[in-house]
Amino acid sequence: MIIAKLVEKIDSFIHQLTEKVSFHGGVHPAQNKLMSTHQPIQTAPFAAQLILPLNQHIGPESVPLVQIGQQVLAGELIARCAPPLGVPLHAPTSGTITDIGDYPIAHASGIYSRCIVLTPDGLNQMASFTPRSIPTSPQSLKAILLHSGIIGMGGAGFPSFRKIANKTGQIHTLIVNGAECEPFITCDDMLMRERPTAIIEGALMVAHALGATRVLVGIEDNKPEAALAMKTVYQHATQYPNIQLDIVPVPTIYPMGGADQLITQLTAKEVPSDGHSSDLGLIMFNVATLAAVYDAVTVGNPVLNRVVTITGFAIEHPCNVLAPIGTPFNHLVTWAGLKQQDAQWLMGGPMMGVPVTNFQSPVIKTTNCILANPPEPEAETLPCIRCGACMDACPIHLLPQQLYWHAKAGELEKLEALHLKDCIECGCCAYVCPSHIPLVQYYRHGKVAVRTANNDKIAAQRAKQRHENQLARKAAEEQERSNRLAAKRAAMMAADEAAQAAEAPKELR
Amino acid sequence: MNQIHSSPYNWGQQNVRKVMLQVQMAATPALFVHAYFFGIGIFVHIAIALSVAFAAEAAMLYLRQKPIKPYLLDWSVVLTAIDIVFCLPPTSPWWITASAVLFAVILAKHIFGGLGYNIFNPAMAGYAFVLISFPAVMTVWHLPNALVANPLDAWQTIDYIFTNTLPNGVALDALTGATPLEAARTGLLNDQTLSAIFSHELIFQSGQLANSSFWLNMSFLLGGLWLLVKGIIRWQMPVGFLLAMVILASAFHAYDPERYAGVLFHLFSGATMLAAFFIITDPVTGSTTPTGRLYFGLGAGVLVYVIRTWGGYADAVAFAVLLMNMLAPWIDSMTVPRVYGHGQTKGNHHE
Repeated sequence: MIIAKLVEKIDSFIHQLTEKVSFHGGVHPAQNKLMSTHQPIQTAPFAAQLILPLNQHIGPESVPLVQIGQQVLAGELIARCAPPLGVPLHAPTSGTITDIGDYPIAHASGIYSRCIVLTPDGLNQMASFTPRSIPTSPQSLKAILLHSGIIGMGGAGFPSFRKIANKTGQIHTLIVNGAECEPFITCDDMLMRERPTAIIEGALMVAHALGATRVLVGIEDNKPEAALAMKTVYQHATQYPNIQLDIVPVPTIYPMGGADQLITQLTAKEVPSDGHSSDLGLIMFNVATLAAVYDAVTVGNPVLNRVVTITGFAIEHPCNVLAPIGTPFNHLVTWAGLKQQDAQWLMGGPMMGVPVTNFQSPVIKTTNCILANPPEPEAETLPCIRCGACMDACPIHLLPQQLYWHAKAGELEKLEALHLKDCIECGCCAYVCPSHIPLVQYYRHGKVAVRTANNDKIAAQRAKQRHENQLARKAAEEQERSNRLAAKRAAMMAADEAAQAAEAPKELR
Repeated sequence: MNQIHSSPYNWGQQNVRKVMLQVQMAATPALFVHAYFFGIGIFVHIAIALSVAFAAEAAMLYLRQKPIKPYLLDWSVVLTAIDIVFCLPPTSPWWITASAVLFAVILAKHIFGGLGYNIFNPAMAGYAFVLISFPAVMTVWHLPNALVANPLDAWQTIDYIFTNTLPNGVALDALTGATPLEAARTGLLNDQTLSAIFSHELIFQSGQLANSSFWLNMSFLLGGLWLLVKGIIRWQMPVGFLLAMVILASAFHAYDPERYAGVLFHLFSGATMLAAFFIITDPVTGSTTPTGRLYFGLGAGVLVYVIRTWGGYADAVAFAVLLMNMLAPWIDSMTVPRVYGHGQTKGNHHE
């Protein structure tokens, strides 16, 4: 449709003109980032217990290799990956394994998950690490990512080795995600300010191993200090003359840090809905992931800790802290000072964060922020007035207002036809909704309903197939048996005839 | 409502009340222009319309067992009332306003389920109701005060609206006359040429300064542009509406300038700008997809021109809008935008 294309062009032109943004929609929530960037990254004392979930990533649970009572060193392998898609787990510090069992974790459903509990001895004795040689092929990079337990530390938790294609040259550009668009969160910002060398070198190593010739670092323009630090470091990095690295400031708009959104902003290309960024020759890593790669190569240590932003209006001293994996949230929050006991805790930012129902939940490899804000009076929800503000804010260009009606009515086919599964749950629609409808909640329910219905359909088809197979098998068996009987009968008759024939000559004789 | 257990935990500053309030602010210049030309009649009618509207809304919410306070304070009913008042003759009797508002709030809005659920634009439904039911009253328009020898003062206006009595010695004919659209329509029906109509009709003789239609349309255009900049309305609907009028008016004007009025006449007469920026942009009853909004505007523009030119009414916004309201759900289903990461044509032809 020419007119539809024209309207889309005009809209994106206006958006480009007013926001300088290449993807559709986006919102400007209050950033509240400055409160946690006053101090350098802090170190907190060890918690009494570190709780290490066996499943911190997308994929199967890791398999424990230790027994209760066993002494471990920092960096020692304590759970091996369940092949082919799992990730190994390492002890973040030295100490004693005191339990292996179910503990609460920060998850939307408030579920318990299987965890290894480590009681630190306070000595933080390291296992002996040996620096690795710089990876030169996708395979060698893959091995390092896997054995160091590296997963996407921006929040997705996708095991990093699974992103890597096997062949060299399939990827031409590495995109480094330093956008960090969620309000309140500053851990990537601080990491870029304090460890730019690790990030830049890590990026160059990854690009080199993949045979990529280009590195694009996208940093939102509200982090000038981080961008400057990264630029300064790159001017001195000359080890990889074939790789061109650019630090690109991108406009501050939520959800700029979404993988597909940043790709579109930096390359003006869209990631196909049914494909991956690798189809475009692109791969994306978060800055913290790349710093972990750098450490895994130059020092040889696996992921032991990560930078976590402890912030919010209920925190006395908002800051960033280098927290060992497994540190319970309340240990960090108490350390930073909790001003208000009735504060609401979130893991992550206010747009996509997960509510913390149990304050003992541990920091995992994807925990970028613990946010504690005073409870807010709930906004009254009014009916949808179909104003379309949600549609204008949606970075995927879905029709949130229609999806809402269909999700409410349980019209699953309509939900699928309007591409509900492409929704990234960024929350822009609900953020702008003048009627304050919790839209994302409807979409989450809708997605589950669609998936369940499809699974049911598949299960029903399978059951039908099984039933038909069974009938066919029975028929075949029946056939075989009757054949066998017939053959037997024929044989018996033949034997009788033969016997008769044998007797007959006597009579004849 | 139970607690929200799912992100986001961050809400923007916008709410329904603010949206409605901003639209009303945008209509304020037109309100004063109207008062300048026609006296305080419009304020009297706004007072009538608001009291009836709030009473009807509260009664309906009570009958439907809905919480009264949050819904009454969403201000949507104020917008409906004011839209109706802008369409009515400024000295029409009080019961015209009251019945239009009652029809709008009770039958067009609450019977369909209240805010967000109504199919037809309540203001236009209410206006169409009185236009069809009481055509004689509705075609008597007050002349701009500048064209009247002894215009009514405030008390005389109130008296006339409520008791239908004029001061001694003032004849109704001296106060009322045809609007520009009406004058042109009647003239053309009597086989006059447009140039003849423009030269002898009172409303066209006194120059642009006395042309209330022109200045009202200008003030609605101004308010509408402000709404566009504020992001309360989107460009597609007004652009589509005005584009359709411009194309049709210029084409027919070029064909026969003595029978078909020009572009500027159509753009700045009647309720053109009010419709373009304030009426067809009602989100509840219009299209919501980007392309759908353009089609909705185009369709309304075509209908307004067609009914104005060949139909039975001088202006046609109410009927055009109500007809397009019926088509809105279908337009939406035909104009699903291209989703990120999907092919250019995919999604456009989905049911």
